[in-house]
Parts: sequence; structure tokens; C-alpha cells
Amino acid sequence: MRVLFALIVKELLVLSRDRHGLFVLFVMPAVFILIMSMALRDALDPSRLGSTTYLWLDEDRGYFALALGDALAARPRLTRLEAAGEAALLARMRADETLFAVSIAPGLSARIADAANGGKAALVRLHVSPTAPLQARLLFEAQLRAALASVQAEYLLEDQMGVPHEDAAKLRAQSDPANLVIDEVFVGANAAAAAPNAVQQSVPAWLVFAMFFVVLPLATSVLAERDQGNLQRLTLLNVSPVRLLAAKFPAYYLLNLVQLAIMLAVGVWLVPLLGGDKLTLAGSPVGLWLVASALSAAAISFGLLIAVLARSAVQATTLGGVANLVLGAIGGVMVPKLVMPPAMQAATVVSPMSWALEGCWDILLRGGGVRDVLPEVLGLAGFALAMFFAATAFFPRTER
Amino acid sequence: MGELYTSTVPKLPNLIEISHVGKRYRGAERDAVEDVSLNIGQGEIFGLLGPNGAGKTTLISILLGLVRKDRGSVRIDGHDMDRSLPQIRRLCGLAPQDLGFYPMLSVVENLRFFGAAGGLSGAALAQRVDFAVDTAQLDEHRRKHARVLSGGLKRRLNLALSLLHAPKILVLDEPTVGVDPQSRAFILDVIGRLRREQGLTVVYTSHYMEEVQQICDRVAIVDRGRVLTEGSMQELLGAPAAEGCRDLEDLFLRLTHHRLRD
Repeated sequence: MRVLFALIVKELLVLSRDRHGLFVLFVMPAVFILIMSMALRDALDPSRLGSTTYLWLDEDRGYFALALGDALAARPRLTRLEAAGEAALLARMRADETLFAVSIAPGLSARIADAANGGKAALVRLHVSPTAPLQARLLFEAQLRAALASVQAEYLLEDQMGVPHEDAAKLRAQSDPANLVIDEVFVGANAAAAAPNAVQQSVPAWLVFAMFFVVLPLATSVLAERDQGNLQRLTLLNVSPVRLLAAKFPAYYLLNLVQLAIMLAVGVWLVPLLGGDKLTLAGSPVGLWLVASALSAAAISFGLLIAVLARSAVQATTLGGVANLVLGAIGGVMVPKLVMPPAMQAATVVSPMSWALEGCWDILLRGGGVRDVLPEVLGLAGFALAMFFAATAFFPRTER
Repeated sequence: MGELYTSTVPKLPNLIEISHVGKRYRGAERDAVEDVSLNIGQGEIFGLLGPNGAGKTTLISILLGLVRKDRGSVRIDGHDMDRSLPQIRRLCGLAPQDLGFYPMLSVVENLRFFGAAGGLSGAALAQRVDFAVDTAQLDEHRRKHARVLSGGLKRRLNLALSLLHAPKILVLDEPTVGVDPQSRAFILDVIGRLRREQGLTVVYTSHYMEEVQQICDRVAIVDRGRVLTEGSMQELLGAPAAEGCRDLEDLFLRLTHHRLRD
């Protein structure tokens, strides 16, 4: 019993004197909970649910279209933005201004007549961003159907009251709201994209998160070299800090590419074998390689800076781990950006993980090409350069 | 210069000239090295003796440009440290106390890597690797990972690495710590042989008095960052301050006192 007591006391003493470890252990959950609570504040509190913005394009200008526009705008928590035309609508969606858009092509009356005769011509077109989470998509679609049904009910009422609109008779035949056909299209980078599945939507986030974790082995390897006296020997051989740190890139870049290949292979082959949805590798492979390369460079440079700033391998591991979690939480990797409050959504831009995520979405969800990912690639490359130069600047050339 | 004993002028031409060097680490209460002046001749084996925390490692780190001095000047082979640090570093080989190699690489991989990092390639690299392996008698361990080597073999690899670039000055920081008597004797023999055959200048720190007495031409005893005395073994033991001292250990304890150190 005495031995056990002595062991317990020793453990408490050792733990209480690890000030850096304790600081991280206490601060990390606080920071993490703060970020996650802020990110999920609106998603988990119905009273604070934010408004979903959508684009509206009415090219029919008929009575039904106007009525539908009014009915949809009257739905709760929907905010309408007007689109000037089909091209503008698609461009604004591709610029991530909204996740949804509704357009009504000319000739709605004819399509209603067709529907009355059992035709399946779509009355309206719902444009969806492939990045929109399934729940948000279903919710918006339900809102649109409700608006359609309310217009239909209005027609029927007018008909009953003896003031029928010319389309009312046609619409009356459509007593089942489900027969009001909505043409749902996913807005790709250049053309319509395939309907995304859960795997397609989740893989990019985990890909980005996993690749950034290269920070940990990299930082600990640099610190091990320092502790073992290797850096001292290399300094004596006049090896410059720039060369020393730059030499870390190829090995860890290769590691990141293998990670990427494994994660994609799991999505494409393993998940379907286990009954899940298959990951489809849409978009440009070169674009994906560019995003992965820029992400890898950003993660490696960040790891080098952590290694240079940390005093020990333990400190580097905790610092790197916490930084990854915080960047992931802010960057929309753990919580979709859509469900975050507006201020948090704006804050995602500070995390390089959000840029990488956007780049992966451009390729894997929107089927984009090299040109589509250039902004994200350049952003990540800039981040990588800044981190690398900071790491070389803080690298201790001589002990002061 | 020591306050108790002033050495005679060295007969050998000076390769290392340290003049009034001082260093205080950030946040420290006192200087790690305080007004140290030393001359070390070409081909000399110079011992730095001192208790823990005396400033030996700081002094050799300053000598190699690994720690920035606050005051004074260092000239090596005619090069001023403040102006020609890369040239000075090229002249020096270091066997650090912390060993300084990659445990996951084999003996020969470590040698090839550090050789290449220092600018050697092709036949020159192969030749220097072979020389280092032969000198440290590591031939039968060439393919072994450094992490599985015994303490003595690790020290020999450390020594081999310091010889790769054919340095003019070899700095050995406690090179025999934790090794068996056979390995210690071997390392001391190698150091002596390198000096004899190649005219290498050696700066040697150790806690082992008999070791220092055995191989060093001249010794400096340092404590609290200052040189207390300096000279050849005969000069040190023949000085008035050493009266009654049987050997270097007696003199060392008299000068640095018996009080336990941090």
C-alpha cells in the first residue's frame, strides 16, 4: 500500500511540475470548446437559426412564377437575392455566394399544361451547390415544395370561388404536390456536377485534416535532431538553416502524397465494399495534385515553424496538435461552414485548412480544373512561404 | 589568464588564440565564461579541466562558433572569428558530448551523410569514410544501425564522424564518458596517433584526471567561467600553488575546492 501511495504521490508531483504540458491540457479544451460552441451555436439552437440566402431568377414573368416567387420569399428564414440572368446566377453560385438558386425558364404556362396532361416537364429548376450538406438541401427543397403547394392551393381556392385563373384549371389536375416537378441540378465548376454523396462530401475535409497532421512527426524529428546534437554537427559543417529546413520537404511531401493516395483509395474501393457510397474522382487530377502539393507545403512549413519555436519534442507535439485542432475547427473541417454563425463563417478565411478544403471541393465536388483551384493553391503556397521564412528567421544559428 | 599560475610561452606556433573572451547567457546571474585568454599551439593536445558548470562546454562552443561570445576575440589559424566563421568551422571537427548522429541510420550511412553534408562527394567521400571507419575500427559494424551499438562503439562512431573532413583542430567534449576501459584506452590511443601522424591539434575536455594527465601536453583548469591555472603538467605541479599536491587531481581539488557543485 505504501508503495502504491508513493507511486501516486510521485505521479502527482511530476504532473504538477510539467507546466507547459498542463498549460496545453487546460487551455486546449477551453479553446476548442469555445470555437466549437461558437461554430455550432446557431445549428443547435432553433431560436438562433440563421437565414438561408438563395438566388432567384424569373425568366417567365407569368402570374404563377410571380406568385411562386412571393410564396417562397414569404417562407421563414429564407433570404432572396435577385439574379440578372442564368449566366450571372451560375457565376455567383460558383463564387460561393449562395448554396441554392431557383430559376424559372420562360414558358411556365405550357409546362403547367403539360403537367396537367401527365407530362413530367419541370416547372422550376433548383440549382444546388455540391458542397451543400444533405440536410440543408432537403430543407430548402421542402421549402420550395411548400411554396409550390401554397400557390397551387391558392389557384384551387380561386377556382372554387369562381374567379379561376387560366392556369388554375390545368393545375387543378395536379392534386398531388409531388407531381409538381422540380428539376434539381448541381452546379459544377464548368458544367453540371454529379449529385454528391456522403463520402464525396466528407472525404475532402478528412483529407485536409489528415495531411496537416504531418506537422507532428516533422516537428518532433527536427527537435530530436537538435537534442541528439546532429544540428550542432551540421551547423559546424556550415549547413545553412535554409538548406537544413528545405531538405525536410521532399520526404514529408512524399508522405503526404501517399496519405492522399491511401485516403482516395479507401473512398473509391474500400468504402463501397463495406456498403458505403463510392467516392468518384471528378475533376482534374492535375488540379487535385496541385491542391495536395500546396497543402503539403503549407503543412510542412507550419511544422518547421512549430519545431523551431518549441523547446522540446513534447511541447512541439502538444503545440502542433492543438494548432491542428484549432485550425480544423475554425476552417470548417469539423463543422460545416454553412451551419456556423456569420461571424464564424467569415473567420474561416484565416485557416489555411479552409482554403485547402475549398480547393478539394472544387475538384472532387464541383468537377473543376486547374484554373478553378489556382486561388486556393496560390494562397496555400503564400502561407507555406511565409511560414518557411519565419522558421528560418527563428532558427537558432548560434545559441544566444 | 589564471590568477594562480602564469604559463611559460608555448614553444609551438599558436593555432588558436583566445583573448579576453566573455559570455553570459540570457537571464543568467553570472558569466558562463569570464575574461578567458588562452593560446593553443599547432599539434598540441590541450586539456580543459573543470567541475560541472565550470564553463568548459561554453568555451569550446564559442571556439567553434556555436555559441556567440559577448566580448573578446578568437583567432584560429589566422582567421578572426567575427569575420571568417565559415572558414574557422571548416578547420574544426567536433565530437560532442551528446554524440550527434542519427540512431536510425547505419554506421556507414551516418558517415556518408555527414560527409556529403560537409561537401564531400564521390571518391573523396568514399576515401574519408574508409579512413574514419579504419581509424575508429568500425569496419565490422559498418552496416549496424547506430542505435544498436554499445556505448563504446557509439563513442567511436562519434570520433569517426569528427574526423571526416580532415580537420586541423579536433574538439572532443568528454569523449570517453560511459565507456569501458578498453574503449577508453582505444580512444586515447587514436587521439595520440592522430596528433603524431597528422599533426592534429586537439582540445580535450574531461573529468578524468588520469586521462588528461596521460595525453595532454598542456592543461587549463577552469572554474566559474575563469581559467584558474594553465600550463604543462610539470609546470602545473611544480608551481608554488601546487605545493604538496601529488597529482593533477590533488591540484584540481585544491584550486576548485572540495565543495560540491551544481
